[in-house]
Amino acid sequence: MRKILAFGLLLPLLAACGNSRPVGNDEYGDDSRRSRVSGRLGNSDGILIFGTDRTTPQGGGNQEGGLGVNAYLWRATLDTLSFLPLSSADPFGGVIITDWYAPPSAPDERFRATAYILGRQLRSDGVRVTVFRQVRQGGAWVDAAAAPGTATELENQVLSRARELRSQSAGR
Amino acid sequence: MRKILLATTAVAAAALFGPGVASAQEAPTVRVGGYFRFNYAFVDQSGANGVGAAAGTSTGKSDFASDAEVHVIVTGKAANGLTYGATIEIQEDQNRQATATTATKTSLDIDEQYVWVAYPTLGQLRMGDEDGVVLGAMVTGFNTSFGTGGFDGDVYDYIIGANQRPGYVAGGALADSSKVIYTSPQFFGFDFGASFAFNNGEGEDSGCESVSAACDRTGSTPGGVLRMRNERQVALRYRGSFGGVGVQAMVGYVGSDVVTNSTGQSGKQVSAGQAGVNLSAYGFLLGANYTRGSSNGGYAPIARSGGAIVDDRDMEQYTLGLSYTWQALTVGANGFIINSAGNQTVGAGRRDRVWSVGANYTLAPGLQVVAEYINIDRKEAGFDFINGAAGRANNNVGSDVFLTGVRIAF
Repeated sequence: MRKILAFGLLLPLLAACGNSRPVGNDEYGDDSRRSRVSGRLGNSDGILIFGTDRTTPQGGGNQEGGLGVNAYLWRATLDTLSFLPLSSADPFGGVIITDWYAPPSAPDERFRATAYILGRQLRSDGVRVTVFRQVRQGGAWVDAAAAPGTATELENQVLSRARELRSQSAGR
Repeated sequence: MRKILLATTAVAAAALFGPGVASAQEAPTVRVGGYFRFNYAFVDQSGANGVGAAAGTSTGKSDFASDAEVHVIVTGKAANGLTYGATIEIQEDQNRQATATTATKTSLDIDEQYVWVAYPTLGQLRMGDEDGVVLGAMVTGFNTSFGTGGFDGDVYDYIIGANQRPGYVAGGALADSSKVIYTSPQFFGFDFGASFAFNNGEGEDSGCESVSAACDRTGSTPGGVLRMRNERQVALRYRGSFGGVGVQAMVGYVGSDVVTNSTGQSGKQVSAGQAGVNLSAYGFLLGANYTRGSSNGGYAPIARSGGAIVDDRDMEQYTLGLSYTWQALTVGANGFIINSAGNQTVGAGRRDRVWSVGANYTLAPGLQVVAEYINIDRKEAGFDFINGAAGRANNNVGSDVFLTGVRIAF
């Protein structure tokens, strides 16, 4: 029983400390014959009977499953910037704009990011991230410079995640 | 400057180590998906002519056949980040015994049905009739991405006679017994899982009306039954990329007890290890899997040596598949070799070998034409595959199958 409890406590600890992420159902094996057919008619995974369709934007139907830009870069950018509150996301133009976020370790500073997905190809120059920084001075937020490497680090993180998503989908 | 550096590094670190997903409540959705296929098959097989009571009966080589699936998929997400859902897969299957003149050949049954709940930091718990982790959730090394799947495709729908169809290990090869499955989140590319089933029964009830050897819950019976009980699986999977090469690797274990013999020697426990790898790069996908352990082909439990049983060797299976995808076209080849005890009343081991080549072409997303050739070869000295008994004739049988068709999914 202790071992089970220790294991149960270990998981959140690993998740908190390590490079962890939830695994989606589409990353598990599926032995149905339906799963062997690539693509879906209408680019929608089944016919929606009840609820709101969150997978295909209205007017979708292109090779990127309804996106106007590369799906891996789009998903990777959303994953990478998910620690920031999202302000707007345009899957056709490939623009993601976040709201301001103040790290708990530095409450007098806040950041927001804008990401542009530049095309349909999965390329290393296919994403541009811009980071904006403000500091609190006298109760007001004023613009300040962000370290030049921050945006590049975020771009690298997006590309790593996109590569990971690409290899996962190819490996299934 | 140092402060700026610290703070901006914190932002990058938050991206790297922070919460994996943003949580927002999502109302449940219900989707209905489907699949239909129509194939033409040309079959040249051993055992195509009747023996015994069926002597004088012969079968044709060509056939059309259709198949369908309907999936109901429910998903939702609570405000606390908990995701949940259920899946019910309805299929045409297990109708081999039906004759051409009865309607049961197109009757429906349930393939898989399960409910799941998942939390980002705790993983997923899946409960229902499913494959488990080794040949289900984390299955690795079986490349079935061309044709209808090659050695694991539609070919067996056209082969007459159980002795002409080898038992083998691949995705979904174990019975969808009612079980509980746990799968972890991914840590540094690794995730793991475990599953357990009390027996290999599926569906809603005990499988019998009165106590008998056939009951799902039967633990022991005179003579025993070579049927799985307490099926357990564990698997560890890694996914990542190195220099543009996508890697997925898995090691797993499948074990089970059997229905014990209350009056004598019981069958062996199933205990088999498995290792698989998928490598993908530049449009190529290579899959390889090695399975070895105490069982017969396809994880079938095996009797212990003694009396009429003279062969209880371990099973081993080598599987290899390679495919290449260029735009809408995928071509590939795959196959396996299994060395196993086969019929346990003859001393020689059995060797099953299946290989195939094939292609599919995507006409539109969800609409494909497929074509493939499959060769099946079965060999066991001292076993007559045609008559299903020990004998010196028909120790080596096989089938050549060409099939082509169209399939559609939504």
